[in-house]
Amino acid sequence: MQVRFALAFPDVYEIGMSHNGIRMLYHILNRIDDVYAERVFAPWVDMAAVFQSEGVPLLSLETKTPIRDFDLVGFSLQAELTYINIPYMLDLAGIPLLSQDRREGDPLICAGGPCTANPEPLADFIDFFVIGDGEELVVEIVDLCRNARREGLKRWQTLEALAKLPGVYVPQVHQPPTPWVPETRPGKPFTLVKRRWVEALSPDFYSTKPIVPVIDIIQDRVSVEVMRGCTQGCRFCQAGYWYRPTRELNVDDVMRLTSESLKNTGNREIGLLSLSTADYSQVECLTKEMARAFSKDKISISLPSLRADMFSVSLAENVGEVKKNGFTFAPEAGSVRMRRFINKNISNEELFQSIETAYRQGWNLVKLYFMIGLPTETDADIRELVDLIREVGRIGKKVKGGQKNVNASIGTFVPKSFTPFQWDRFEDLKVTTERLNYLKSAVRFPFARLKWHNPMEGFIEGVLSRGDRRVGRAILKAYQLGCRFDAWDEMFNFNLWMKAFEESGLDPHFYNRDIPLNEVLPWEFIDIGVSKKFLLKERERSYEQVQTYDCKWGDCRGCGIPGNYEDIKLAEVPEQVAAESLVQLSLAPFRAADAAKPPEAQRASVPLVQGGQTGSEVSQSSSAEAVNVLTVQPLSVVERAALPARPFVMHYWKEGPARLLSHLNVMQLMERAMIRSEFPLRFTEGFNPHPKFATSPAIPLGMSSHSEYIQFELRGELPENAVARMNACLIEGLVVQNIVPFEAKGQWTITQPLQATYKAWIESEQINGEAGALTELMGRVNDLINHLCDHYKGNDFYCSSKDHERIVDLWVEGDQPPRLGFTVSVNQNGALLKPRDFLEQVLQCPPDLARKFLVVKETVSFQ
Amino acid sequence: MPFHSGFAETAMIDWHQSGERMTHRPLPPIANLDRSPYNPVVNTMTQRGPAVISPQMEFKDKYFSLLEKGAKPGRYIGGEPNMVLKDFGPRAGSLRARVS
Repeated sequence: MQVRFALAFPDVYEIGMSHNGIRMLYHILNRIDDVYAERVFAPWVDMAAVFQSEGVPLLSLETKTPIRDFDLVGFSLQAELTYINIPYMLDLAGIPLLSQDRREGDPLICAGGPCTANPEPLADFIDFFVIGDGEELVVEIVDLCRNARREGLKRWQTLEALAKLPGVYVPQVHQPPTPWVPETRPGKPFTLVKRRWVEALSPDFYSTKPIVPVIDIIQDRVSVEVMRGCTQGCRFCQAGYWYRPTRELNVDDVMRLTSESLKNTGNREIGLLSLSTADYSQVECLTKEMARAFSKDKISISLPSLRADMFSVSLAENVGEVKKNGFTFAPEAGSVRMRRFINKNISNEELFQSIETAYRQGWNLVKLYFMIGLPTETDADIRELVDLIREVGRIGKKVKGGQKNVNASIGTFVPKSFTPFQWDRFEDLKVTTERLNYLKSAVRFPFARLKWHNPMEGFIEGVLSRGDRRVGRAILKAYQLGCRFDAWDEMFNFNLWMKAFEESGLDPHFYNRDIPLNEVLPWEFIDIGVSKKFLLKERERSYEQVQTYDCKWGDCRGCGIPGNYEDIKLAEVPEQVAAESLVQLSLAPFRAADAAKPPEAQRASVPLVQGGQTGSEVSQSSSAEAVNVLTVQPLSVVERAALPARPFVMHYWKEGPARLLSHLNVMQLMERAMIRSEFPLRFTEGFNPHPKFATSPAIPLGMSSHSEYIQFELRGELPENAVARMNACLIEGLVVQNIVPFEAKGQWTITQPLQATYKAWIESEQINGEAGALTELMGRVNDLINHLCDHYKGNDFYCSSKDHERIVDLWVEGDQPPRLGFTVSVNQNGALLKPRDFLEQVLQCPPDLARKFLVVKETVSFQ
Repeated sequence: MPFHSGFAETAMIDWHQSGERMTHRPLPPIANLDRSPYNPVVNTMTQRGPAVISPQMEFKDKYFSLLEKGAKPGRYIGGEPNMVLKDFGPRAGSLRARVS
């Protein structure tokens, strides 16, 4: 019994393909023989309009199956502003938008991800929610659905069975929580669903053969989740409470996953994912080992935003071995008081020291994330934020000179469920706008660039994140009014949203107000493990400016999830590292010597030396050569570097679906295919190394070509079966024909074509209504052929186009439909006449007709 | 399946033992339904009925022929390296196929 599962992401391909959760679920589901998981992303509005007008429903990317024909459709909810794309995608798929309207033939619509921390606003659209980690639960869901089909259960019966799975919330089956209506409060909270989490991260969750995207995506790298959960306790951070407890992957597992993924994708960048990667207990050991194993192949390491107090010289050295794009710190607030309030206890001195270290280690750009609109924030806090940016810029100027060296990004605080600030209001829009305007006018330093998010987007996000079931009405109304892709600035329309609230009879300010502490919250029926009592206590501590320390090292703070290592799973300390005391954050020293001290004292007990380097890091640096923790087989790139570079030329075809890829995208695919095929490529030297390529001139998007070339250099021999290897790593339509040595080293000849031959035709079914114009066109072609014949005989040549001198040959093949063949040469500037220009300017083909021509570049000749 | 915990079977057994399947029980109404929150004219694609192109292969051909009309058509072509392809046949085993 087969089960088909559509993994849906309510945003475009570039965003969705960057999401690690989709990759994991895709791998986990497709590992099961009789389950087929396929992907679907939200088409941008232009394409959606085309699909709708042509009657093509939303299709999966793998088999182009209509989404409505799947058994299950699972949405990944990563941000509230993508909610609007759920009715959008359902509508495009032809699936009834509301659960209550779906019938037996319709797929079951489910959703998971961090936004299920308050699923109520989407409760009317989604049949069931997956609350918590999905790695195990999704398999159980698929099993259940398979069994349900085998038993011949009805839709409602399947939903009732699903409701009994721990971690599944079925709004239509579970008694809906007390509606958030003022007259019913205060009520008594009750638990319907408990959040599921996996006990430990398993390497089996992760694919070592992730899909290689065909176009640029926002996070295009091999991503490995080194840690899930964060117990630093930042009081605004929903993920920090939602993903507890902390679970880490072992260093050797991370290294194995990374090296296999690199080999299987050809990627040259590694992303170490977690909520706070600098808090990964073996981060120094891991980054050092990665730098040792991968930097020789020009593979760089990137980290998400860091806590400034966890940044060190050796970490900077390891991460910046190959590429130094920018370092991101997230102080979140400008003043020390505000940082203490949100439990982000970083002093200005620690921040400045870390930033200076980053600059001194060669980074040219530091990115800083801030929020405005936090509870208790005053104008004085905003002025301190400006001072902080000024000081960071001054440090950058001192170290790096006068260039732009700071990017400050300003977001608006949005209170989220299951955080100590879940009762606090979204700051008044007038206030946040005034403060943002002040920042825009004050941060006008030559070395700093200010970026910001629209507070109005934050306002809507606030309603969606703390809304109740009634907010679903407004989502639907906003969709009907035309809202799409709210997370995109150019698409967000505040006025339409306000109109939607008005027409739905809802007051958005009701959801963004200060909530009395005794109210029953719409999400309280979920038990995430962290108790309400703890959240209330944390809230009190924030107002009292009391710090709550990280419980990761064994000192339980009583959040509700057992501490003392009952749930926390730290990475094992690699044996040799432990023996040599090389790991800064290894468990042993903290537990043995410092267990009784608060973490502040623990940090202070590690003496600081020059440039923020700690004593343990010094020993780590000095013993760098001795570290050989893991048996990663080093590649012989060093030996290869001594070999002379040999030039080669690759001839390939670009047709079929591949003709819809841009030239740059094709080059990226080719580069990755070469790396996967183990070509010993020669890289450029310098700041951002890349393979040394030259290519034949780019052809227009949509045009096919049988005559594309790449010239490259190898340090060593071409691998055996190079052509077959390459073709195994490419997509349909990109076919390598041949790879030959190119003797003229140093000459990049293929970039300078002399002439090219094209063929152009119109498919029979496209001719409709254009038969007359096509006949006229063929008449002009015949005339031109006669003129050219006269010209070849030495007679005068008449042509209305100034491009006539560039026409080398012209002929017609067949007649049903006729195919034009033409050869054109370059002009005096070395530019080839474009085939579309040839059709429109030389043959005077109407543009509408010219667009219907399929064009293929057949041959090209070079100097 | 190394992380299969068997909850699915347990849930199914519970449900079977409960005997609820013998009598059809309508699903509880959604909250606030009495306030008629929804404009019924929303399922535009659904109300148009099945799309005009019926066989799936034609969808695929038609789909590719449309991609040039939108921005960044590479987003929609699929077929990436390492993509999983399983031969389940056209609509094989899907709920919709079973019902129709």
